[in-house]
Amino acid sequence: MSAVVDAVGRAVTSQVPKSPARARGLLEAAYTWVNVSGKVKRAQTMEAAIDHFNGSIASTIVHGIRHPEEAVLVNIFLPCELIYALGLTPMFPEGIAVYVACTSCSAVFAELAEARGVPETFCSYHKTMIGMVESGVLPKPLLVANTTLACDANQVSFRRVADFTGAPHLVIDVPHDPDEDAVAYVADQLHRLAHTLEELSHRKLDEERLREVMAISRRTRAYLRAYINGRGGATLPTTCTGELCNFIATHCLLGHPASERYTRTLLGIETAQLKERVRESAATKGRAFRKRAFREHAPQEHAPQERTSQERAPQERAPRIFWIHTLPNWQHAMTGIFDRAQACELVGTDVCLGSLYGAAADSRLGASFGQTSEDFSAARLGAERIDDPTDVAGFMGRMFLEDADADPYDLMARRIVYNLANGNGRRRIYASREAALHAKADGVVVFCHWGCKQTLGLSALAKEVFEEAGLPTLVLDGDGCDGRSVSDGQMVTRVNAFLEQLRGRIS
Amino acid sequence: MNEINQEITSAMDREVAGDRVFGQDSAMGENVLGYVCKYTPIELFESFGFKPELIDAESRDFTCAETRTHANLCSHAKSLIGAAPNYENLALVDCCDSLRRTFDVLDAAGEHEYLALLDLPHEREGCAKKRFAATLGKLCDQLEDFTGRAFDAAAFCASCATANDSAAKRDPLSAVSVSAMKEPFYAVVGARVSPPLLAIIRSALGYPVVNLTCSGNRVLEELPPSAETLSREDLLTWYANALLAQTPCMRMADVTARRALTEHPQLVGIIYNTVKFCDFYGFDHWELSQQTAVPILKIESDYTPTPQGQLSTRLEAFRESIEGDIVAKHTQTSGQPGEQGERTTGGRFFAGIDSGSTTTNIVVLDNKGDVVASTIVRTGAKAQNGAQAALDDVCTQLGATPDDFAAIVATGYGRENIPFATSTVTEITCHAKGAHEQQPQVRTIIDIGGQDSKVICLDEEGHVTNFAMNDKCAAGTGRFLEAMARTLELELEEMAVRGLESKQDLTISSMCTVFAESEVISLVADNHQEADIIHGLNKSIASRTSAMVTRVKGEAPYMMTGGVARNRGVVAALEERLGDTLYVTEEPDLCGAYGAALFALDSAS
Repeated sequence: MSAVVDAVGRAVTSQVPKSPARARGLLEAAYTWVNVSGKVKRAQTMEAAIDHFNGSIASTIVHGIRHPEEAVLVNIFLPCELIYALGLTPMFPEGIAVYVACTSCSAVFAELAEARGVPETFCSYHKTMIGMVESGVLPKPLLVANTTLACDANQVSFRRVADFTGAPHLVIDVPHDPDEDAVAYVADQLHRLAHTLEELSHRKLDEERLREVMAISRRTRAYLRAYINGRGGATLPTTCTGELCNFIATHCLLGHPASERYTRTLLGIETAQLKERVRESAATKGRAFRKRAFREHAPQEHAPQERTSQERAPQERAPRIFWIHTLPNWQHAMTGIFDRAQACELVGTDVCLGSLYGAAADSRLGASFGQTSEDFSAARLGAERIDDPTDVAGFMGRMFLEDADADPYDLMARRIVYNLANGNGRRRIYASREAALHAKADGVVVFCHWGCKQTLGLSALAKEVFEEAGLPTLVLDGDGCDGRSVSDGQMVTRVNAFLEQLRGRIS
Repeated sequence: MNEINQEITSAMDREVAGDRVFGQDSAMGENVLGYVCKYTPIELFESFGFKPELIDAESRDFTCAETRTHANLCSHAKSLIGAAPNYENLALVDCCDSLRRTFDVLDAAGEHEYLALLDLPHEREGCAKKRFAATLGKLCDQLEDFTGRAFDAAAFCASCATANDSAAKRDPLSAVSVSAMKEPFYAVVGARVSPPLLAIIRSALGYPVVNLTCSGNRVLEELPPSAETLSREDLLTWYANALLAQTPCMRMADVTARRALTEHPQLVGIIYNTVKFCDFYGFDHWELSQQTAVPILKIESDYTPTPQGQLSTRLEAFRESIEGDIVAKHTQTSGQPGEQGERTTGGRFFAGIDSGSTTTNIVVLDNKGDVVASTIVRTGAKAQNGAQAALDDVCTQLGATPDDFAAIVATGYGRENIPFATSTVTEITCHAKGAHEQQPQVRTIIDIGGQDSKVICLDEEGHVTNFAMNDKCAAGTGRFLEAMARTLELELEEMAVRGLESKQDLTISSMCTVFAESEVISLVADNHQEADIIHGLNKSIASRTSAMVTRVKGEAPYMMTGGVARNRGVVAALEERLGDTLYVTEEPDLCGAYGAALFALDSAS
């Protein structure tokens, strides 16, 4: 398979300068194949669920490329429910760049962008998108729309793509300080986005349809929330791609039926395993367990998770890793270690928590100015409780789940404003610490994606906080989609040494 | 140096003398508040008794910042983290990812009496103004609590009324005075420029240099009539509008007003500064270069003390191309070793000497402009010794003595350290001169030497219209090839041809010399053929170089100069990448020295 992928990558690379249309055709064909091969898998396994959802993402990309008049080029944090309700398609650079990287042809786009003045130190996801647009491979979309969250790259790359293609451009300005005024400010702009989409597509937004899409979105987050709730008790063959799927399912594919299907399947697989463990345990030890801890679907608010002796780790288990930021799923040297619990098990990421964690906890956060550090620290997210990993109710309570009849614009705005990627970086670190402990992680990897100052800037602080909580932490420099700035050998050595360290602690 | 530049630099030096700019004394001053961004409401802070001070420190050592954050954070943010302990009070703005994270680590450290991060909107209209006014209102409340003082409208208005005068006093060559410029001037645009770097730029150029980066373009619009009588809310609404009405920096959503910065009729050249790991301004530079006809020199700085060598070469070449005073650096005869002198005797020969990092080359012309001698020697540890050896060699060839030379023009890295040179010209201008003389139709020169690579664009008269040089990284230069030859245990000459025998298309993707070396080692371990690996390396150089050609909009016909032009494999890979042939002379390394010799001949006539 790898030889076929490499051959496609080489073909695309050679066609980009000569015939962008042919390069586009090759990518379309490759991603159509990803879609079809994913869709034929029906088994209720983690691998099949990921392949199936991966196919849906590929299908979204292909649709956007084939029908640019229906495509909105968005960043991953832009709420896309409005787009789905109007029957339009989002195209998102992070997703496209990952697909291009997995097709072994990101370098040609990155180099093209650099030759046209994009700094070498710029985020490679966005660099790849610029290269794809300016090479003529990605067509002009109906609209370019981005939030200022979560990073500076959005500010410059989307503006540049809009200028280059001549597509209309709309920016959703997300204030840094998460508060209720910010929610109203963003909701206002989302109304503007709805009007713009209506005007450009000549379609009328059906409010009822929007509510249906919002219901899909709500159920998707409820399934994933329940999955996260049970994650500490399960051992699952997760993959880097799967964790990225969780990120996409809870961000720009929120509201898409594929996301609901995917997260429901994940929860089903996890629940089946938890039930099986309970049965085995009951059979061997004859102890009774309250079954309500292992619900089939969406959990009750604040429902505590049972801790059982069976959840405690056996002696020779693989280390459990909580991951911060994006994952290098294109890099075989890394997937060979992290995928399918070969050398370790990925038990969660902060990026998929981002849109689940919410306002409840943030009401205690003030604006960032005028407070001395002590005042500010005291007002931190759950600071008084999060050192206790058994505080499941507290952790789940901080997950954001809205009322079904809430205003869609307010909800979407709330999700962006209170996203963990916004505000003081310690919100993200503390929530991640909580999630890592809840998932019974043995250690944390802080992945510093090339050019992402948001994450690399807080890496040292995160390491300090995680290690204080008893979670050894590896700060790993790498790249989510461009192999030119990484060295396999260096990364493998660091990761393996870290895993040896964790295994030493486990045994 | 231009007189105004000199005066301002001296004045700023006096201010820097006590290290105030570096914040060393700040802790001793009462209520000093460090700030970094022009959107900081410094007048509001002043009205509460703070003494705002712009932090623009360079740092010799990023250890503190890299311990608390990461090496790849923006260099300015890293220098700020280093300088922060010198300030008890700090007001930061939500400018960019790096400053957000800087705030986080400083906040976590809890070392400041007062620490603020102002939430600045990205938009500038309607709701954004309203929100920003509300944010300023909240800040005002906080400051009342913090200082125990009530908001003082009169003090606030007084501070706003003098804001622009204070800025002009700090640096007369800043945005507040640019509209009054009546003579030709340069502008520094782009990412913020540190005072020492600004001083270097000002010292190298012949016209005044105006700082239009965000450390020099803070301009506040006039207060409304009877401002003192307005309510606090109305005053802060005006203030929010006034701050947002400034020339936008690149983090704002709408940046179209930035173009006004570079539309002044007297503007003759733009020095575009980018800061390492700050990505905003690479985009602005590209856009500006597509839109303006004003010559632009792009530089990259990193908030550490700037090495003079490469920067001086660029600035001087830029000055030469704009101000036209090519042989500008004649110095008086001194006769002392180590100092350049002017020859007074009329000699028969005219020499150009190119003191490079690897070799020192001389070309000698007679008074008709014909080449009568040339040589290439190893530079060795001292440029002066290599130059003397080269001069001795041509003297032997010609049966002449140094007194037989009417003029000797030095170029290359070591040009300032050649005692017998009568003047200096940068290698960029010399390469252009030499190449144009040999092949007038050439429009783009690709020069790859030992430690740097350059692309130089020429017009039909042979004048430099644009150029680019690699930055501090050696990837894509002769040193890169030397390192790879060592890894493959080959001689450079052997490596130059082996790549042509390649059968399999390998790609070396790493941008960094060290990573590329490890990639080569992996390929060797995987039993790939040497020829294929070398071809991959040649393609890697071709890729970087052709990107530089695209950046400066280089066009065919192309000429390649410098020692690497002797490497047939690299030439072939570049030709494939550019889709055109490269003209390579028999002695490509002598092009710079030949151009310098032509300048020597010109100076005599």
